Amino acid sequence: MKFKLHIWRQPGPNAEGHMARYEIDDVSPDMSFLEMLDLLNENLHGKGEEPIAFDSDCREGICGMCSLVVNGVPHGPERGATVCQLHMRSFGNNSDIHIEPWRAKAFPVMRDLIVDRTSFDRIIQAGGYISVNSGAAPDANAIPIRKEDADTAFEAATCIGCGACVAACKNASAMLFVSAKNVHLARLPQGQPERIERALKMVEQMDAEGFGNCTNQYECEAVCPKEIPATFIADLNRDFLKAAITK
Amino acid sequence: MRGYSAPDSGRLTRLFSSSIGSKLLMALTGLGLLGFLLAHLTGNLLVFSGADAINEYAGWIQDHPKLIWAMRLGLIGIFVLHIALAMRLTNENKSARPTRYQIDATVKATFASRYMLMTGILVLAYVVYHLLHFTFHTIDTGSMGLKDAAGHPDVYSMMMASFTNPLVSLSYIVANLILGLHLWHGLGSAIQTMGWNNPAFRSVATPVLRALPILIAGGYIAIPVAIWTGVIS
Repeated sequence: MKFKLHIWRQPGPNAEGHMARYEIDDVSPDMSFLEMLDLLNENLHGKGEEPIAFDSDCREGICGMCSLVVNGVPHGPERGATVCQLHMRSFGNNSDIHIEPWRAKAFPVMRDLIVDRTSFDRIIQAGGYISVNSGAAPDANAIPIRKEDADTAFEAATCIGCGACVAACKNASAMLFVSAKNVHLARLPQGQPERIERALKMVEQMDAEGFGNCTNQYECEAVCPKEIPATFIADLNRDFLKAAITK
Repeated sequence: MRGYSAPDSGRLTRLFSSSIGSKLLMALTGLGLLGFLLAHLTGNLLVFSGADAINEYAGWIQDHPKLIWAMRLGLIGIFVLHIALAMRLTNENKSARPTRYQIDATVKATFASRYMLMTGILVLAYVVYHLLHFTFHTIDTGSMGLKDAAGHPDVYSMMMASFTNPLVSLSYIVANLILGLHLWHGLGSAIQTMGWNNPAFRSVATPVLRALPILIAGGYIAIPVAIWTGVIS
């Protein structure tokens, strides 16, 4: 397969960026999107040009590192998949592919397609945790948990923190991420003691980081590789409002 | 980048300076305006019961100036707050993405949700037009400011004179379609913001949320259509 690639190039955080055009052929339909970029980088390296910087790690959809906006959609056209799980057979031969980094004030571009997502880490540090005493591991199933609650908590915990929700949101809001981190602890008994503070602190940190305000358009849930539902945002809203009024 | 610090100001300040709190206020003011739309529509639909019914209602309103001014001031306050919050939230949202995408794709956001600001501005323009027309009579479409035989304001004749004019009718029909679009996203959005969007609530509320914008826009549109087509004459 052959493709015409349009890729965001930016040498550093404060440098001007631009879209650069590359042509690539000999692409196998079974290559992943990132393998296609690896091939492009090999070609660039061979020609003595600077390879394209992009994030990746596990390449099996579980680490949350890969972060490319492909033709305007975070993680590209495949639903419920990260861009490392996207295959080149999803694109027409000889088609144009536009590749851009996540765009948000809270995710500044560091280089080419790599953005700084430590704002997510600071949100987790603000309240996305439970405090437990260290020591021997507690007995499994010692605390009864309803199956429905365990399932919902698990569904929320599948969030890999990639930031596609922010990238897709028309307002660069981080509500889907924060709601997943809230629900995965708020539905479990272990998450109750710090539930009020958690919602307050995470939302206040989210606001301080410069993410936008959710306008309930649900582009986030449409692109989320783990298909986290936007109803979790309603749960977060309820927890936050309760906390802000009572705390 | 500032970290989290315990707020020292009041609870309400903390609530309404947050993103979710601002959105709650947006939702509450929106629901307040929805309440007004329902009350106003109920009054207007009296036109289907004939001239005496709607004129008597208009007379009753004029006979209770204190109540009406309290309602008006409250309504203006809610309206101004709704608009001011919309401006603040929109500005914050614009600055949250300083560099736009070269290719901007939409996966599932509805038309109504993507054009809330635009439909909101158009609804504001419609409110100004409507006030200049039926309240201040600056826009004169005939039979304005008359009294009927019983001494009540002759709203009936005013409506008849206005809506037999196709252009005036058309402007009200289009304006109410835009209002319906604004309510379509606004209502569902308010429910989500208040944290009521869960499967149990949704199974009961979804039909209501879908029907209300259609009933409100449809109810208002029915009046010019009925007069224009001669159903009311």
